[in-house]
Amino acid sequence: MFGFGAACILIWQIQSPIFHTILDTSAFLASGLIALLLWDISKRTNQPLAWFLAVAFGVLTAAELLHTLIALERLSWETAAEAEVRWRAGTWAPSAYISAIGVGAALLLRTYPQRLGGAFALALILQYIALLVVFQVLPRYLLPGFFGITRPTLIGVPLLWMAAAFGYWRLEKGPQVASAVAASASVMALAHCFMLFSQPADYPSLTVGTGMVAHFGKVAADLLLLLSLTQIGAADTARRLRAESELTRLNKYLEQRIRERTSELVGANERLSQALEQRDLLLREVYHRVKNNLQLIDSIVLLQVRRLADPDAKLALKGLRRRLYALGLVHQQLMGSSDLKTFDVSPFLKELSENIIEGIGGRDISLSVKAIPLNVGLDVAIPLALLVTELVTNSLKHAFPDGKGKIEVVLDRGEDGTMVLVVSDNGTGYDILEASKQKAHGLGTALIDGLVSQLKAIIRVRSMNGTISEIQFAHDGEP
Amino acid sequence: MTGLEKVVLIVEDEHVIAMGLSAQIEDLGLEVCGTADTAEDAVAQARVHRPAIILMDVRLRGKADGVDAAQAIYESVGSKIIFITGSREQKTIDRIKLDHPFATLFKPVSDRQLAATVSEAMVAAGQA
Repeated sequence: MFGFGAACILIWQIQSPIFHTILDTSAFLASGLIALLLWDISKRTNQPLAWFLAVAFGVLTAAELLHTLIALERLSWETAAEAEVRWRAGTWAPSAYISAIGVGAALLLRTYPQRLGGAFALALILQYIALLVVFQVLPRYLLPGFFGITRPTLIGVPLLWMAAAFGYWRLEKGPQVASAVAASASVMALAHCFMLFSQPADYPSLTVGTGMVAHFGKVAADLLLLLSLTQIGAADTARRLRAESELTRLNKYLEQRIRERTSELVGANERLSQALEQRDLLLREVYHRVKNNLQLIDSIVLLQVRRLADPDAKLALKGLRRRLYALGLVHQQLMGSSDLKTFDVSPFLKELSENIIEGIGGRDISLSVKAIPLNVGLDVAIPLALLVTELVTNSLKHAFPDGKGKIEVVLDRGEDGTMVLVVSDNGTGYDILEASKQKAHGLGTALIDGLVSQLKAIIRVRSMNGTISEIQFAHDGEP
Repeated sequence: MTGLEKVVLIVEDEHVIAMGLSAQIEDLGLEVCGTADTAEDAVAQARVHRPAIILMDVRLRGKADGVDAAQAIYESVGSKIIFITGSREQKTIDRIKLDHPFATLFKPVSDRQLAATVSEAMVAAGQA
């Protein structure tokens, strides 16, 4: 586009002040739009490069406004011809330099924080004023010299643009803004080469129109950048919209999954608590059945006792009923416990011992049960219940010939952490070996031996103001 | 309550257990007027025999349980009812409490527990 336009201008030697003014105005408008676009991109992407470029183009826009106002003869207090040479040419150079310097400096500043933008703008403005002063002193047009160059003072501009284009092009993995600037800067460099050959409007020469070509090129470069930036902005917006819609979709999917998982968990929870309830119900039922069967057996034994005449046989069956009662009582305690697995053994021992004493009918025998609270399961409770039954029964049968006395049941934790069950009486004392020889008690002693080894316990029997049976067993309280 | 007989009605769905209880009651020197294994039978027999004491199991054959039977008997006959239950569930215990029980015994019931409770009930029924 630039090439075609430049060719037309050169061939037809267009040097119209109106065309010149239109191009100046376009450059000003394009710079302003570029500054706004860059500012917008920097806000959205938080890129310092776009921000410093926006500052540079902002300053440039102000400079071009000045140049354009002169072209529109709004600031002229001299004759039009004087102004044309003095101010039009005089403000071109500073704004040309300041734009190349600004764009180049933005590249160098790209790693600095954005708050330096103000200082950068001030530096550019001061530089512009300095350039303005310098270019009032420097000659504007010279006779064609080296290579026919008429404005050697402008030689720096295309060189700076070339450097900038190279710098932006080299920016590895640079933002899209950088490649847009690189392309625009290349066109700028080319356009400003033409300016080196420009001459005053009334100067007849073969190179008439080179100034216009430079102006045209500048506008073309500006438009190129403007277009690229618009495209970047549009692409960004499209990407953002896509990302947002993807996010919305993902959110909906997640919410849906959460709802599904929640309802699954609620269902699983319900099933689990139902299963637990079912388990409790089943366990209660089993304990109930066991207890009922024990009572059934007890009833049969009871009925059998009534039909027997032999006192030894009756005694043996009554002994059996005591043991059945101990087992039934364990199951009764289990059914009443909250976890259906363990229960506190201390009230149980009291109830058990009381029942044995009253069952055998020792009205003048006092009982004391001192048990620390201890949660036990079936595996400990059954042997413990039977042991207490046997030991208390032994004391009742052998210790008190006159039917008076005292029995003590103690459950305590020893210093080494083991449990100690002590059943003692203040009776006459008896030889357990001797007692075991008696027919009726052979079973009791055998049971005690078996239960002690089941509990992996140690039993010590002493006769000292009565009989003391001490059973030591390990129990960590966690059945 | 007047017009009660000095007899005991046993309500229990396990017949062998009922036999055992009958033997225990007889050993106490009391007469057993009958045994029932359903709530309906229990109510019917209670109306016929008007026993001073009823030993009532909670679990029975049929839909209605001992608690239902006890309610009906309490309203129509007024016997002293001793519950003998295998359950220790709070729900059952709470229901029993609504039925004006004379006592509630938990299985296994020892001989002396039964003897003591029955004789207390006889005193309360004015039949001792």
